[in-house]
Amino acid sequence: MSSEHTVSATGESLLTAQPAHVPDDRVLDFDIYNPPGVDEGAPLQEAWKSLHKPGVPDIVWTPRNGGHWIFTRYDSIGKAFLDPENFSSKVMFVPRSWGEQYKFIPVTTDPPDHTAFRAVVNAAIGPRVMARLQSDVEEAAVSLVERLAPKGHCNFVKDFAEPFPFRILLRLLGLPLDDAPQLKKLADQITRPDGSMTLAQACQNFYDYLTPFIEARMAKAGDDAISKMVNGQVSGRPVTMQEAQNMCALVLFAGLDTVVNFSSFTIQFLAENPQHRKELLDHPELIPTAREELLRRFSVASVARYVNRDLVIEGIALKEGEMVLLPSVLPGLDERKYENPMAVDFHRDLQSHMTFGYGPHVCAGAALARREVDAFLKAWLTRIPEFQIAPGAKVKHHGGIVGAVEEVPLIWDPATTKTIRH
Amino acid sequence: MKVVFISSDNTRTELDVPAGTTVMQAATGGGVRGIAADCGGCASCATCHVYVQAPYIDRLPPISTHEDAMLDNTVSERRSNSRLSCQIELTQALDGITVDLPKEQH
Repeated sequence: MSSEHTVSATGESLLTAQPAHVPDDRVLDFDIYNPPGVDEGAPLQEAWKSLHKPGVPDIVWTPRNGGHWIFTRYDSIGKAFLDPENFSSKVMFVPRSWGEQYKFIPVTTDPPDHTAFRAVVNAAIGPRVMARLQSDVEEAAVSLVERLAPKGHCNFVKDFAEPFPFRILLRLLGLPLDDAPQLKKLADQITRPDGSMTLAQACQNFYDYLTPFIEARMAKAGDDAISKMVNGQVSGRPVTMQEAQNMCALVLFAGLDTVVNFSSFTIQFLAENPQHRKELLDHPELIPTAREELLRRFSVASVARYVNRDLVIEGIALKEGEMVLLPSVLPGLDERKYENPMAVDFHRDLQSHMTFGYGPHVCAGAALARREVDAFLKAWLTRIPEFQIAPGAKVKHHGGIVGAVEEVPLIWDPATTKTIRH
Repeated sequence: MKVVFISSDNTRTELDVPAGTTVMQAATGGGVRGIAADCGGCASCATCHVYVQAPYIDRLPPISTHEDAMLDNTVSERRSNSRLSCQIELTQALDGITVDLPKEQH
């Protein structure tokens, strides 16, 4: 069972036997680390959308990654996110054996414990802090775009999608900007492991990196988000070193692999769809609505929940200890909720989406992400309005806990770029 | 129960909802824009912030420690009548409650 070819990068056997209570018609082979066709060039969200094909039940069980359920529809995913008593966050990645090594806070806690930690994280990176960062975010986007504009080409992922949010994140946390590439490699081992280390080792690397900064700021607090978290109070007592490590590691990790990939999916879409690009250029006031529509269409994360007790959901028996994947990628693509969901329509009357999750664990960094996306769209489109994917280049996507774009080689004519005074 | 929303551009929306509904649920169910409620009602996101008009503000249950902490993180300014609308459940005493919506929730 443990030869190289029967074990995946997460250390789990490739295929798990179907348990007796899983009906045959619910079994479907789906690997979140390699959704069907993605390695061969299929777009990531289209690969996920295969779970909405006619004849595929709303709840399926896959033998991949330890064997787990997948909820595929907006309604059932939303209900499970809102029900932490039955769907616990204590293990939130598949395979379960992989997720059990992950202890970051508050994501792996349930209410009522979760509530106190969440308040500490919100005070460090919540909407109000972000409102104060607005001009820093805009400046970072503008300076990167202005450096690229005269060149006429770039690899968007390495030249913009990564450095832009890293700059904001590391400034927010008060960490050295030069550490970004090293930290990005650590984050990738959590979301898209290559088998070189266990998840416990990947997390330990985050703790080892952060501990000296945490100790320094417990001794003398600064104005940064790490200082706010490590000197926070939970239920009337100071946070412990271990809690501080797990909160800081979460905020750092979550900021290294999310907006990076979302903005790469977005630039690929805008490169391939000049009419959408033109619409935003002619009507920059549409950017906030367009940002939400793009978030709906190009969602990247797939987290899971641990079944806390035997349950029957939509006629299907789930057993205590089983894992249910609640892919945030899928609700936005559900045609029962959104008409013509694969189309991007900047005029869609979009009241909500689940790209940032839902329920108590809804993304604490959503306000930061939204500001980053707006700043990116505005800075890029006004200065580099005309661009395309480099001829012959193939943009490759990857599956994982966070879906990724490998690289996006772009070209443009420097004569079409604009210099804007700011 | 009647609940009234006044948006930042002064649009007034009146809704009739059953007792026990929260002000947030009334807004999201009734298509009122200006309340995001990203977390679905567990006081985790601070995006259902409202300013509750007199006399209703004085009829609300006290602010919990957690709601208090979340109100310190709303994107629009916190005022003395700031509350999270997901924490306001409609009762007889609140029939007719009128809330002003902040300019932004994100």
